[in-house]
Amino acid sequence: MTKYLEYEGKNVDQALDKAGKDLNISLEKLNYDVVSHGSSGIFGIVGVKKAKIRIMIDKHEISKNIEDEAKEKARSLVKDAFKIKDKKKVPQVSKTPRISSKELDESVKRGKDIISKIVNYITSEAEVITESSKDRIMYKVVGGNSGLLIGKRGQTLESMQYLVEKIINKNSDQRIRVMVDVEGYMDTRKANLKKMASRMADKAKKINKPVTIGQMNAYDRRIIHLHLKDNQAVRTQSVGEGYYRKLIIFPRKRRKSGQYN
Amino acid sequence: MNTKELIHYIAQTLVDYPEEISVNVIEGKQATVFELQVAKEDLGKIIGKQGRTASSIRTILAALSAKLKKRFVLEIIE
Repeated sequence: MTKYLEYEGKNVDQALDKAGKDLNISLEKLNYDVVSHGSSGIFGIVGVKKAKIRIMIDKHEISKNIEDEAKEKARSLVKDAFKIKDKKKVPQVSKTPRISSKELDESVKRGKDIISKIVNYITSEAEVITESSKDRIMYKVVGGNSGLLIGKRGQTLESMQYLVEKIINKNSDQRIRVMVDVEGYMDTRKANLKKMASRMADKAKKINKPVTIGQMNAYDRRIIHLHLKDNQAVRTQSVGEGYYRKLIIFPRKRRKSGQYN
Repeated sequence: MNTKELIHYIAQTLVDYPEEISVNVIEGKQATVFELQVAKEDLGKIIGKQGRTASSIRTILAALSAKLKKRFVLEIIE
């Protein structure tokens, strides 16, 4: 009964060496075919191919050897697997307490203090309600002069949100997202953005050219990307850096849209 | 509580050395200038990436000034 085994190496000689060592057979006795000679590629970087040989062995002769080998391999594999698991476990353990509810509560409280302080400077008779989940805190401001609190195009709101997020995350490497909402302004804005996104997508489809929307923050862009994700007629992409980053809506090619139908 | 205290408070929560913060108020006819001074190490924290933190504080000041019908200027002093 013959068996085939494949070995790889940088070149044929190396593969042979490896096979000989693994099987405890001297090289002269090996009965082999060269599957591929391999190549070192260009400068040993591009297109490196390993040489492969196939060895025919009489099973009875070395079956014992192979069995031992297999057992050894299995043992070391199991060991390795455990090692990896152990390694993986360590950072996980240290990660969990970072989002502990105690810390979150503290952050929520600190944020609330800051928000209510700022809000009460700007306007009177406003109340701050907090909602928090695993890594997200939502502050809802109710009452008071909401126009002042929101500011031009939500400027003041955004500033408060940014400052509070920064303060809360100052001393930790875990990032907690902070949202500030005044009298449902965020929902209204979200709805408006979605409406605009749909309008722009229609436009892009109609004129069959990309449409650009500029001057938005990351959150606004995210809303639009998510909104147009399921729209088969267009594709969205953000280009540029920092302040000049803008969102482009591309119409999809006719042929492609035909495939969907 | 006045605007000076608010600026001081916000700065305090942002920096590492809160005891080195000082806010200097210069009252003018039209505008009030607040000079915020922090420890050298904290300057970056107050200004922020692309001046974002500084402009956030200024935006909040602008909201305040609308209420008080006054002009506020925030200067961050090195």
